[in-house]
Order: sequence, then structure tokens, then C-alpha cells
Amino acid sequence: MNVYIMTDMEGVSGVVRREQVSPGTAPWREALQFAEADFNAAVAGAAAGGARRIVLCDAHGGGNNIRLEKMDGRAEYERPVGARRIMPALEEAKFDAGFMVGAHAMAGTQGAFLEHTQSSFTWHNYTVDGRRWGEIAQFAAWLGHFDVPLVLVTGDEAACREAREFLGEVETATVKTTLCRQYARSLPPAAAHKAIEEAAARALRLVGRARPFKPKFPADVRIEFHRADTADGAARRPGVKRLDGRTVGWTANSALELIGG
Amino acid sequence: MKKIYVVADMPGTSGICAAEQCRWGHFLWREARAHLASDVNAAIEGAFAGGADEVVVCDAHGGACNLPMERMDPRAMYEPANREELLPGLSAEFAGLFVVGAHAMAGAVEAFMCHTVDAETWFRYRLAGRECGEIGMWAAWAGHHGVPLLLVTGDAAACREAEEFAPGVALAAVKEAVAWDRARTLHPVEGRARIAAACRRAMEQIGRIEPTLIDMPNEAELEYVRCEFADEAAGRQGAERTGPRTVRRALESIMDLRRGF
Repeated sequence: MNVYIMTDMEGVSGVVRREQVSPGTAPWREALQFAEADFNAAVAGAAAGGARRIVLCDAHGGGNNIRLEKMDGRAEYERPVGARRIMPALEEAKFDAGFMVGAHAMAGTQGAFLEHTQSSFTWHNYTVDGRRWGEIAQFAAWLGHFDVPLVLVTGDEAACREAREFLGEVETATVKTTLCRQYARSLPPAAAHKAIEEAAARALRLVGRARPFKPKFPADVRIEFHRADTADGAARRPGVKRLDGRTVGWTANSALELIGG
Repeated sequence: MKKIYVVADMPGTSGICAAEQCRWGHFLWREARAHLASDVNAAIEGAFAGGADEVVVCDAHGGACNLPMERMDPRAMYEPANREELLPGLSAEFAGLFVVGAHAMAGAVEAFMCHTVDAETWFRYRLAGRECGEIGMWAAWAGHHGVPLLLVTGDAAACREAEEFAPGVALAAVKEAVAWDRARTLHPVEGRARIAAACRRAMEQIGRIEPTLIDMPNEAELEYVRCEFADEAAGRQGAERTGPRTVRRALESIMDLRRGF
């Protein structure tokens, strides 16, 4: 059984304030240990659940959040290669299950730690065929394109709730609750790691039962930005239409066209 | 005794074609202040030519101090806007309000530098249930004192918005948006001529155009770009959280239209 683990940093246990997810800063450097520990807990759970090959994708800010010497030796490491190749290993081998570790809720979710969709600074709402989506649904659809079901999501309460709303049959591990967008109350790391490891092992029992997330295509994708200048730039990309002052849209023919436009 | 109150903003000034020219302290801003003075002087001249006895100019862009005093028509008085006190010197003694250099509200279509109050945090502002930008705020503020909005100059989008908010208001469109941060502008000499002509029409409207009146008590609602701002604003006395990114406040007086947000 092959398991693909997508990772992000906002939903990692022990990460409780914004500075900890800003790459290059001192708080971020200190928070790397929390991220690695959560990711390793998922690797351990996958191995316990019967995974033979485990690939871990370092996706927060495009990568650089995992020090390889700290990574569980049972996992391989990769990172997205631009917006068109977010999970490169899926293109080469058949995977049986996907995990999303350290997830955050979509932009515009109240009581969600560092909620956003792609960019906290420019994206206001992202919709697919009229439904508001966040990154959890995007990644689930990306995995779904390769017939891989997303069976585990870990993160704050709001991220786990969002995962269940989109996926139905999914294991979740809630590692923190959110006081306001910028501050969260986290489980002690040891308890969080135990929860993640157990949920990961349970999640692999869903393989064969959980269905890959496959929305209908072609799909109408729209981004409403915070401000018109971002829409000006996005509308210059091929295939992208300006829909109003702050909104652009395009038609996605597959999940691989959901993000880049 | 006819007193005219002129509120001056910078984005809608003729001769200004790039957002950088409106950034306080930027070397392009330093040069662009001459364009601001040119448009404001056209309005001062137009007010006096139309029979005004007194003109007060309010410098409302950013933190004020944009209008170079040495270039301003010496017949006018100068005052800075004072944060939540939008038009500090405006009183019932005035016969009309001129808005010079206006921009459209946040989210407007084909609008140069459209925003409402703060381009970094305010997404959508509603006054008495209706989407409203700065032109509407100023019109409502003046209306509270029984003073009608007589003139609006700015880009084409600002003029469209003004006509919708205060039908019959005299307009001078001096530019149109190419992008959010780029505009195609009339030459300042032509801009001055258009403003002067609009001022003549505006002064003839005195006594024939009604002030903008908002029934009180009422409410104002602001949608922010991100939850963190609503988290903070919702914690202030009198605030009601109406959505993940939205806060509503009761208004006892139009003087409170910006307070608490």
C-alpha cells in the first residue's frame, strides 16, 4: 500500500501564532520541530497501518519546512513543482491513500486558525461551480484526479470540520482549537502526535471503501480577490476572464486546472 | 453668505496616472501634489466665480498634508481631515459640498484605485443597508448638516457612483481607469477647464438640490478582507459579529459612520 502525505504548517500542533508560519523568521525556525513531529506521527501511523511506500510532500510556502535529517526514514521527501505539479509522485506511481497533515480552513471561516485559500493577502473567496472551496477540497480533488482518496486530515477544529463536510468518509485528528484567527489553543504535542498516529492507522482501513473526491468537470472556477489590482494581473493569464471588479474565472477541464487558472 | 466646503482626495486628480503618485512620501507623490493643487484651485476658482464668499478646503487623502499650501489659491482656508471626523469644519452654514479628486468604492468595476477608507483591510462597507464608498460617506456627512453634495470630480467610475448616490450632482470626469493602478488622464489644463465648467453648473444648483439624508437611528456594516480584523472589531463595545469577516454597528448619528470599524 502506497500513501501520499500532503503537508501544511498552519494546522500543526504547537503552532499557535502567525509568526510561526512565516518562512525564514526565528519563530518559524523554532516551529519546524513541531511540523516535523506531526508529519512523522503521520508517517508512523501509516507504517503501522500497513503502508509500504510513503511519500511526504513539503507544501507550505512551496517547501523548505522539513529538515531531512529530522524526517522519519521510512518516508521519501518531495515538494510541489509549480502550480501544475503539486504532487509529482502521483504522476509516476499508483497510490492507495492520501493524507493531509497540518491543514487549515478556507478563507472566510470564522474561528479558524490562519484560515485562507492560497493567499491570505489577496484571495477573498474561491468557488468551484458556485461552492466555496478551500485548500482541503483542492488537494482532495487533485488526489482524486489520480484516483487516490483523501482519508486523513489533521489540523485545527475548523479544518477537520471542513474536511468532513467535503469528504464524508474521512478520518480526522483535531490538534487545536482556535481563539481568533491569529491565536490557537493547542493540544500538548505528545497528545497531538498520539492522536495523529492513531488516526493515520485507522485511516488506512478506509482504503477500498472511501471514494476518491471527483467533482464534475468541466467546472466553473472563480476567485474573488481582496482588491482589483490582483484581478487585473490574474485576468492577463490565458483563458482567464474578468467577471467583475475583483473577480476572475476560468473553466477547469480537470482537477489539475483548479488552481493555476 | 455662500460658503463652499471642498474635500480633496488624490486618486481622482487630473494628471495623476499611476498609483505610486498617491503614495505619501514617494518621490512621484511629491511631484503629483502640483496636480492636486491645480484641480483644487480650479474648484476654488469655480466656487468664487459662482458667487461663493468663503471656501474651506479639506485635505482628505491619507494622513493629509498633500496639498502644497504655497500653490493653493490664497482665498481659501485649509484644514486636514481628522480620522473618523471626516469633514471637521463642515457645518450648517455651508451652502454646498464639492468633492475633488474622488475615486470609486472598493470593488467598483474599471475604477482607478477604487477602495473604501483602507485598501488593505476594508472589503465592503454598507451604510443603511446600501453599499457605500467615500463619496457616499461624505455626502451623508454633509447631508446631516443640511448641506447638499454639489460637485464631484474624479475618474469616470467615481462620477458614475456619485450620480447614483446623488442624482443631479454636477460631475467632471477627468480620467478613466486602464487598470486599478493605471489611468488614462486628461491633461491637467483640460482637467482644470472641465472642473471649472462643472463648478458653474454646481453653483447654479444651490437651493435646487437636496442634501443626502440617512434616517437615524440606522446601522453600518463592514466586511473586512480577513477574519482577524473582524475578530478585533467585534470585540469593541457596541459591535455585532454578523459574519466571519463582517461586523455591524448601530448608528445613532451619521457622525458615527466610521467609528469602531
